[in-house]
Amino acid sequence: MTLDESNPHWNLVQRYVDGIASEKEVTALEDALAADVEFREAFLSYLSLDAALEEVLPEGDLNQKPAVQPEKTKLRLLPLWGLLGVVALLAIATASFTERRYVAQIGATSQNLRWRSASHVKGEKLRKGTRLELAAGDVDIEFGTGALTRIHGPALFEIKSDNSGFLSYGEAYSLAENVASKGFTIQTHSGDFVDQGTEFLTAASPDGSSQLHVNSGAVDVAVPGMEMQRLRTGSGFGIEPGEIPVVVRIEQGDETAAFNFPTIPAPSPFDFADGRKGEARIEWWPSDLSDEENHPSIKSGPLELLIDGSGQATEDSPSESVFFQDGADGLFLIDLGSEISVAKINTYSWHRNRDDPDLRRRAVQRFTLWGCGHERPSTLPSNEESTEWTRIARVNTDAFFRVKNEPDRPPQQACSIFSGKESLGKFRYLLFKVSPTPMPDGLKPRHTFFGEIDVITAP
Amino acid sequence: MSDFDSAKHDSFLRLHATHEPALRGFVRSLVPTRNDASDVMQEVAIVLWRKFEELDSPDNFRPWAFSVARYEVLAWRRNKARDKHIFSEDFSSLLADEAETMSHESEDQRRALEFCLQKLPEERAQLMRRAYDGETRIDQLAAEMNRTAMSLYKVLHRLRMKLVACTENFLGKERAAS
Repeated sequence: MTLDESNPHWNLVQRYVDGIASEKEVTALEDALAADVEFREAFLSYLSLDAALEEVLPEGDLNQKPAVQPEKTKLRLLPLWGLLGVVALLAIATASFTERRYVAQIGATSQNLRWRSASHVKGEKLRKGTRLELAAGDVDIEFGTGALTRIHGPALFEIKSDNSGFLSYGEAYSLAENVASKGFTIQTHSGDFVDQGTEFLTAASPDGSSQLHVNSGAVDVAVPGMEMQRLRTGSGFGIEPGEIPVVVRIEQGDETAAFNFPTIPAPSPFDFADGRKGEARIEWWPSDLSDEENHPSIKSGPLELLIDGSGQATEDSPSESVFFQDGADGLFLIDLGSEISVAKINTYSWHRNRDDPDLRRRAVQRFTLWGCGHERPSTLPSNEESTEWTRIARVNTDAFFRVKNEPDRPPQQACSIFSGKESLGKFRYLLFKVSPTPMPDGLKPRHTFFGEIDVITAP
Repeated sequence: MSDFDSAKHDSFLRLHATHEPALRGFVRSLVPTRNDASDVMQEVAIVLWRKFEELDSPDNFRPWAFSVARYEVLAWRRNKARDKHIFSEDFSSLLADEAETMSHESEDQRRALEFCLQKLPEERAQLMRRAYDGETRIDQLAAEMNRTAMSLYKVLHRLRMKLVACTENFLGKERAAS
């Protein structure tokens, strides 16, 4: 069979080569090819040309950028392979970065690494589009620009270029220090994190939410429909996917009564939910039958402290804080008095144990925030498809600050929830479901010392 | 690295670079998509290096590399055992035999292709570059051009058909002239 575009078998070839042929079409193509030696020859020429086009057509400028320099990175902590591994690394790395199509390579791997799909080995060159799926463990990806990312499984990560990757889920700890790697980008389903010379950690969940924590330097965050946000050392950022992406920005304060944060304003008496204006009220909410009910602690100040326009005066002040009894989740509701367009919600906490300054467990903010613009709901939000309630955000500041040991946890924290649009939505009721911080064995989880919640309205 | 290792390393790189295009064409003939071929070629490169010491003579690199590639395609097929969108094992084996024979012409085809690409109108050449740059998804490219992905697939298919015809014509004339 000659190259005749009108022949239906060539339509099958096109669909097969583009990866869109059905099972029946693949079978039909195989039958046609098996029956006709000339068609097979033309088919093989066609595929051979398809492969050659990759080589012949001009591409990007990877060769103009410096090759990977793993020796200079801080992440070279994983066990090295033996001499063969080193030689193989040299051989394959050299080969990879003299060919334009390879943009990254596998670096060090942890001993507990398990691949979920195709396995890869140290020194293996990687093309744009290569997907790495880890069931467990860590693997370093050395990008052509010198940027280095450690993927922590379970994770799915795709190589996008010599200076970027896409994290579908899992964690990616990135180090991009040299000039060539400036602009190194980790993309996620909900936003892009663009390095400006730093170390940063990105986490993405299968549900599309993503988080960022900046260890040092600065990172720009690009969320669809939102102005670029720049985060600096110690800051955290979370994005909830949805029609209107919701962003959670988390920062640590200066540990003074002024509550100074890098970008989040101090507690304000001028927000819509300030109790003295008479519009907003706050009340405790009972749990439903499925959950253990929890009340504010008897040592807690009144709930109204959360809408009084100021935070605590000192770092360990229960009476100036609002917190639940140790143990179960607690709920409180802010009634804004009428349905209003909410632009931003800021929450503040402060705690450092007077006797042991390393203990800051009550500074952590862990809560899920729901909103409702209808009549006062009679039931709690039970799931994400709740018709009455809209889940606005989930917050866990320990996750942002990568807390592993007590002193890692900032004593004074602020969380700002906003969106790429002018408004998070129209709400009258805001429901906070607050979770306590886990404690060592035998101790009940402890609740956060909240100092203030500000609700800023949209124009 | 010792002198021995260095020499081995250089020898491997030289041989691999020489035969990689033909190997890629061979592998591409046996798997449905370019991404599949890339995955297999990664495995092939690693295995070739790991087993390079087993190669008795550099003259035998090509048949040895093709046998490794054939095995890696088989391994890839096993991973896709439940995928009904690939050819049967028997038919793949037939294709592999014929593709290996045809691979001797790959360098000529590549040279002819470079010639034929120069004949393409610039806008068509630009489209091919975008489609093969490894970064642009076809649906994105189609959206940019206000086309459907399906129609763009067909445009690219027609361009490939024209290029195959052009390269065969070019090589036919060369053979006639020699």
